[in-house]
Amino acid sequence: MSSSVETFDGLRRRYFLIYLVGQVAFLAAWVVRLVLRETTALAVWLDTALAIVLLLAVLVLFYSLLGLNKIRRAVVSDPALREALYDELVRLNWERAWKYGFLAAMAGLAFFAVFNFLSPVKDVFAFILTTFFAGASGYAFAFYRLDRS
Amino acid sequence: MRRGERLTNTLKVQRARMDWSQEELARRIGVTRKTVNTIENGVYIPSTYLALKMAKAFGTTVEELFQIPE
Repeated sequence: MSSSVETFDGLRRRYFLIYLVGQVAFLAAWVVRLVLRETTALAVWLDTALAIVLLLAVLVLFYSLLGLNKIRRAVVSDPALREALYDELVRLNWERAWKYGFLAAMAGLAFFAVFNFLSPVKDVFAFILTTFFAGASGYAFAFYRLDRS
Repeated sequence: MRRGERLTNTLKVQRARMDWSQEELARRIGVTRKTVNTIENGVYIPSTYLALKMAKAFGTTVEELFQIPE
């Protein structure tokens, strides 16, 4: 079982890194697009380029989530393997990562509060979504770092 | 693990005594090799349950495995 645990652990880390790359690319393109759109400085060519980045990021996210789900399905029938793969350190890192996700969301809110002060926000829903994405990215980034340390 | 809290441990010595690799110990107590590594290096303090499992695997006591540094 041990080699299976190490194989799945390596796979999980790989897919999670891919997920993180997708998440960061998505967030970066999303924020740039949102800020430029709000300040009415978004050129058509740049809007198209950012839309392509967003689409690619979604594809990357989809691919990584499929991979992570494949691992979850592979270990679900083997309780010992599942227990070893999601051991107490992994579960602790999940919990600790939540804190960083929350802080990232708060940082996102603070950023947009300042932004709103300088230039009143038109699309409030998009800003709320962005805060959510920032929280999710913060969570993913924190988990990856904790898992590596 | 709170900041400043550390435990010394004799995992490496015990593993050498049993001629086990980290992977072998991980297999016996049902965790990943990385978890064993972080415990052995003092980065992570295991739960009481896992500490007891380790002690049982080595046929020793938790106190023999983990100590509060003087």
